[in-house]
Amino acid sequence: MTLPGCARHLADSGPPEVHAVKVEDRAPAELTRCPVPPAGFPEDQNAWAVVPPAVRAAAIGLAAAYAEARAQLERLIQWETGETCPPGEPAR
Amino acid sequence: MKKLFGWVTGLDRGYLTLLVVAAAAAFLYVQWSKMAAERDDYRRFGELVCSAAGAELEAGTFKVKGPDGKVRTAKAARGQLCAQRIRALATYELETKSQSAEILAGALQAHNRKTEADAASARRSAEAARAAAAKMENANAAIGDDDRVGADWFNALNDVAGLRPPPGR
Repeated sequence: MTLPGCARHLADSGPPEVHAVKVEDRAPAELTRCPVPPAGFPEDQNAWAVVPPAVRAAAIGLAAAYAEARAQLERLIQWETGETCPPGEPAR
Repeated sequence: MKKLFGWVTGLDRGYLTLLVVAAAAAFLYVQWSKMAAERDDYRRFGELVCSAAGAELEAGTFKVKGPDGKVRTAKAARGQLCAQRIRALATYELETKSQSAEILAGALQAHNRKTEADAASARRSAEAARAAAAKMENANAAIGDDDRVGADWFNALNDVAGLRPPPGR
């Protein structure tokens, strides 16, 4: 014989209702904010400088690295939120 | 016939009848004992199953919500609560499985969509970077020995960085 008191009395609480739950762990909105690019170099007639080749190479490297990092971040944001970042407007 | 059973006479016949009745009673008793033992076994099994499912085998009461919204206590026959509970558990298992499968299928689809969208984005940015790099190379090659860079070079540099010149200048 089983002791009735030892049985788990779950029947009183009705049938279980919660089934499978989809869990979405979204990154905070602050982390998925699209980056705002700064304004670039001026491109008018007053834009000139004397830049030796080594400095030019460094500047080009910096520019390329910025573009690459930004593209990667925007892809990550798209992956996370499903929305593409708008083409960046230069900051005022 | 009389010759055959001639030796069964008087008292002997009474004993024989008693013997036959006793044998029948013994047979019935054995049958009944077996049935009782089996019944007890099933009952124990039922109690085991019900307590594992979290309900009682015995008759009891349960709460039902009437059409007027009031909660009433209703009587349940023996086994009814237990059967109800087991049915609910079976339904629960079935629904959980089908919902899980649905969610997993959805997650897989979402993953595939993301992968495709990301591949397209990667392709776009790689193409833009390649075009900008080619333009930069040309602009760099156009610089004379005086190392003086002008608007064209800065335009190419902005393209490499994915930047735009400041407005209104």
